[in-house]
This record gives sequence, structure tokens and C-alpha cells, in this order.
Amino acid sequence: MVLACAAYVVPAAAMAVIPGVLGTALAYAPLMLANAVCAATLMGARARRVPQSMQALAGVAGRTLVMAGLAAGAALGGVAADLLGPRGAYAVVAIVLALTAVAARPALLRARDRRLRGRAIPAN
Amino acid sequence: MKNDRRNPLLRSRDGRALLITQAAHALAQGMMTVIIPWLILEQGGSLSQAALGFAITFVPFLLLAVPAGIAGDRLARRPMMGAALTTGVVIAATLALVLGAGNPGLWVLYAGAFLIGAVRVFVDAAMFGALAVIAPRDEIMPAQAALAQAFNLGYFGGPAVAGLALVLGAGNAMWMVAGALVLAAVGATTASARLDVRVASDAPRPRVRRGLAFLFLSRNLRALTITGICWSVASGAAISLAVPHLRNDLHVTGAALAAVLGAGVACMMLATPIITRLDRRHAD
Repeated sequence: MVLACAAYVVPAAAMAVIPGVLGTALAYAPLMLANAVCAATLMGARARRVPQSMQALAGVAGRTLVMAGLAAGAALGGVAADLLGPRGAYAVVAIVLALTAVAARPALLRARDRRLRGRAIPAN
Repeated sequence: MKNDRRNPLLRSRDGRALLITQAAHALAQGMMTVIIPWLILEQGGSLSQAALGFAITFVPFLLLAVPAGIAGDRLARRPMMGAALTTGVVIAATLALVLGAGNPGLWVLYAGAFLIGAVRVFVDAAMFGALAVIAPRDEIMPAQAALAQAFNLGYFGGPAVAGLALVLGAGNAMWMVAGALVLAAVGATTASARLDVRVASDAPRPRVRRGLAFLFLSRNLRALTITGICWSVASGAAISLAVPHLRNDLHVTGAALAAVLGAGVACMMLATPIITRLDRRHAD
């Protein structure tokens, strides 16, 4: 998950600085790939840590929070683009993702799955 | 089977049934994200009314996520998916008939968008529950990635299909949504009774009033949830800024814009093999 977030930083930063259509297209494709990797990693990691009896609830609840986050991000991205322009907004996205990866690393490393395989951590 | 390196969902009939159901259902949902705003604009609605028509499909998640999630854990998933998808077919067919008869009011379109969105909450819940039954615990990451890929294929391909379908008329486009939902329902019915395995009666059961709070209770889940929220906010900004950046700053329009966006969706399809490889080598 940390790797996926960190990998997202590169194309987001590239969108902020690369000029030209071709360069932007080359940055946009890996941006969407990083997006898909982050989303699937998040869902899979959560599923490993939730008891069998709460898988559907955890999945839908997590998706609800992500959808709310996407909507909030779209709104905030619009505000950032108004203030800084789309390139400036992409720079902010890259910084936020880098900070997320750095800040989340200790907690996510404690929660890494190697020792969890085959069993779930109780949700409370 | 231990030497079978295929994705866990491709190995079994149930897994393949889930993938077909997911892709067809996501196609219908993706088509709705274009059809409803399009029809609102065609009937003289404003841009904000069209945006509301898009946003309203997500409202059912806020209202129904907890009851749907609990149903997905406690009820048999095939009947749950079948009932939700059949309801979706009825809603889409009714909208198609209404559209064929003339211009319905905006409230009819809003109601249709809301109801189809509600179908998604219950299908998703049943899908999450079924996936946990089918995929072995240590292979749930690549299985989840494959299911997400099927969703991306349908959800991001849906708007393109809807754009073509709208040329044939709004009523026909809605019939195509109904057809995709029928395909999804057929896919669900081809799965075996294994999907319906109930949770043991002594297993922990969440209470509705606790809502989404349990995602923050344990340290492990809290770390993942907060990381996920931060990522989704950043991701929402990154995705929503793409078209304004390409159109306004780089003056990319028409076929070139579609090609850039299409390349992005095509690249998303690489996520499953990447996650599968990484999952074999690294902790998540």
C-alpha cells in the first residue's frame, strides 16, 4: 500500500511539470494505473484484516468512504486549480500523496500481512 | 491445482461468474453516469442539474451501505444479487418505456438514477461477501484486483457505449442498460451454491447502529482506512483535473482527448498482473 501510494507520486508530479500533449499522455496512463493499484490493494488489504462474518460490510463501508473521498477530492481539486492552475493542483496532489505514504508507513508496516496470512484480526 | 498460476477467480466457475456479473453490472452503472446527465441537458436542464443527476447515483451508498453490507454478510448472495439485479432490470425497462413515450420530468430521471444507484449498493455488498467465500485468504489480494479490473472495464467502458447508444435514442440506450443488467443477473445465476455459504452463528456480528465506525476501531484497520481516505481525496482531485488540464491548458479535444483517456483506462488493466506479482513477493 505504501509502495502504491509512493508510486502514485511520480505520475502526479509528472502531470505538474511535463509540457506538451505527448508527455502528459505518458504521465496520465501510469497515473490511472497507480490509481487502480492503490484501489485494489486497499480493498485486498482490508479484506485480509476483517473477519469472514464482516467482509461485505467492510467492503461496502470502505467503498462508501472512498467515494466520499473522491467527491471531496474532486471539489478540492477544483478549488486548487482555480487558485494555482491545474499544474499547481497536480503538484499539491503529489505532495499530499508523498506525505500520505511517509505518514502511513510506520502504521502500515506494523499491520503488514505476512504474519496475518490465513487468519483475520478481530475488528475490535 | 496448486501449480495453477492463474488468478484465483479464473480457476473456478464461481469466480468466472462473479467476473461476468461484475463487468456487466459495472457496464450498466457506467452507462447511467452518461445517460442521465445527457437526458437532463436534452430536456433543457442546467449544468448543475445534470451534475446532480450524476451525483445522485452515489447517494444510496451513504444511506444504504450499512444495511446492505450486513445483508451481504448474513443473506445468501446469489438470491441477493439476483433480486437486486432483477430490480435494476425492472427500473431500467420502466425508464426505457417512459422515455419511449415522451419526455419525462427531471424528477423521474433523478428517481431512476437513485434507484439504479441503490441496486449497486446491494450488488456490491453481495459481491464482497461472495468474493470472501470463493478466494482463499492468502489469495484475496489478486482476486480483489481481478474483480476491480472487471469493474473498471465496465464502468469506464460504459460511458463510451452509452455515447454510441444515445445516437440510437434515449429509450434504446436505457434498453441497453437493462440488457447489461440481465447479463449480470444471468452471470450470477450460473454460480454455484457455494456463494450462499452462511457465516457461522458464533461469528462476530456488527450492529447497524455502529455503522462504519468499526473501520476505525482496530489499529490495523484504522491505519488502512485513514490511508485510503487520504489516497481517495488525492485521487479524486487527480482524476477530475485531467480533462480540464488537457482541454484548457494543452488544447486537446475530440479524438485526441478520447485517445489519452482511453490509454489511461487501458493502462489500468495492467493492475491485476502487477498486484499478483507484488503480492507473491511483498507484504501488503
